[in-house]
Amino acid sequence: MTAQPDVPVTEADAIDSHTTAGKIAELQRRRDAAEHAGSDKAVAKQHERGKMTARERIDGLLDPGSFVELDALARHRSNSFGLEANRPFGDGVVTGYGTIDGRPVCVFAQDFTVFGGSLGEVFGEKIVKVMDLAMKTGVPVIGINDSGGARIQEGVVSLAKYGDIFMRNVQASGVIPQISLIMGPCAGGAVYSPAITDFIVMVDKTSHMFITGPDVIKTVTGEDVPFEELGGAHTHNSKSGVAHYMGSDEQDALDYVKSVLSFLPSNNTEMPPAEEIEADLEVNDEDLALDTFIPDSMNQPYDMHTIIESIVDDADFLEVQPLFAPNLLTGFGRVEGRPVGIVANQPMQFAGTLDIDASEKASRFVRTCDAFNVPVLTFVDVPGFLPGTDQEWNGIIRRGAKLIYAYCEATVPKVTVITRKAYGGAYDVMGSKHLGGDVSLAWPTAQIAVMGAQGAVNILYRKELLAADDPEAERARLLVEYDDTLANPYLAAERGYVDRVIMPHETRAQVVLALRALRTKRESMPPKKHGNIPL
Amino acid sequence: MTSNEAPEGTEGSTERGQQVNLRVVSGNPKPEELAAVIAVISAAASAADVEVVEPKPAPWSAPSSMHRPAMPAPGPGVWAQLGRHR
Repeated sequence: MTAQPDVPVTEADAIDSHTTAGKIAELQRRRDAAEHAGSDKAVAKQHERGKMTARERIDGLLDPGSFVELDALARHRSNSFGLEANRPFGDGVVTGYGTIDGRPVCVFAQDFTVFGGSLGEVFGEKIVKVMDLAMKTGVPVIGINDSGGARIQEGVVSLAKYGDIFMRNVQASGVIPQISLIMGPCAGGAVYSPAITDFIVMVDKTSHMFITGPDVIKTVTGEDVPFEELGGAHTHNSKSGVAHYMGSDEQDALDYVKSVLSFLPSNNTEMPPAEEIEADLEVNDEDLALDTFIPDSMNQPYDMHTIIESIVDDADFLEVQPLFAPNLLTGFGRVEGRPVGIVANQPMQFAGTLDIDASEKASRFVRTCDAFNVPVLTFVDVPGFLPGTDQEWNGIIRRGAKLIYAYCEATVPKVTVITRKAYGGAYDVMGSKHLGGDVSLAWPTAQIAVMGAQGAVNILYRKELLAADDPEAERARLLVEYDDTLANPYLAAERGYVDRVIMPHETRAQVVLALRALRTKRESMPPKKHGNIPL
Repeated sequence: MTSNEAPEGTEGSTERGQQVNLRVVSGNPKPEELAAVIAVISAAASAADVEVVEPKPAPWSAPSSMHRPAMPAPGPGVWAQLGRHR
């Protein structure tokens, strides 16, 4: 192989490439060139922005020394717009395989220091190739995005490669876990590959996602919106719900990805990684604390995290989308060493009502769990759906239906604990027995009814209250009567809608026993191409 | 096969193993009489069989061929096993 004019040649000048020593030296020279494809200036600029290089990120993600790079010597073959004069090895993306916590994964990291991480033909081919490898070997694929977008000089070819990547994202969806890290710009069509993946992790202040940027928006609609507000990590974690976690810095984001993967199997034919331990079913102090945890007043909130943390191993609850729809909590934990996905109403926010965002957050999460054989544990304290024109006009009917769909469709073990309110349609929605819940448990503080006492008494006794000599005293009497008759778990227990009414301190043991019993559960949906979930 | 054994409905077999459905509606035919009737009818049926068109195989693009197959229970070795069948 003769030296290429566009490959930087220094010491190589002295090497005779027709000898073995020369050939080895030539490979070394190319390897070094691939390793340092980005100029020193570009790397320094990347570091100045608080960003790591693609290789540093891979090192921060994978087990030390486990990374095996593919296509390090791949180079573009474009002759347009002077590109032929600059053909860096790797073409701006680092791809390969390695391990995380000893488990194999595939990874690609876009390198902003080479062509601004822009996606051209070879760049796209490399990503496609490593995704295909992940799909053949049944291992998760992690994409690190930091790219200026399509490589304009390569025209429609770069668009074709985006399309090839979308196609593989969809084929792989629900087969292998796909995780996207956004660690710089990710704009235009480029956002849709991460959007299809299971988890999107962004980094505070240094990552952006949008379809059209601030300049285009200014021109078209006149709106003046800065980058960060338009598509920064905070926006997508709290407002749009596009992202699932906001890393405080890049290493925090990488660590979150490792944690998420620790709860997921390598592919959909495996069970999630389990620690073989046996739970101590003896009641402990933390269990007992739950007996006094629910306030006497129905309207007094409490933090659902406390209940979740007392049930999962080591109080270790990894929240997913903690900043989005905080009225509903989603996340992973372990029960008796085995991963579970947790969905829970949060009475601290909007009294734990279900709204559009909460419904979509939960339904996406339940489907993720179902796809990857992770049982779903639901904690219910829900006064109903959030009322308002905003909700109605934005489609709470269509979008709330997704949660029903997700629970009904999920064939993984489903265990539900009703701690307090389970009112109206929201009772049905939140993992009820009717939607295929396998084991439904209720605390004595549970109120499973069509609505709360206030609303019910106003409707049921409107005339009586108007006619009463002392309406307030009468109302108080009727409220008590309603609570005693309907707002309890026992009507549901009579009908088997809850399997057991349990002491709060028994919850941890009962959840362990239910999940143990359900380990051999099997259930299947009727044959179909796919359902028609209201999107 | 006699009318006593199956007064409401009876079946006969031809040499080719095809089923002939006959029912004695009234009277009490002797086995020989029944056998004669079956022989005549099955001969007619065999002749008709020649024209019977075999059921068509499902077309290449049959919607049911695009139904997703049920997943086996997750476990060790399933990934590799599924790959062999695809």
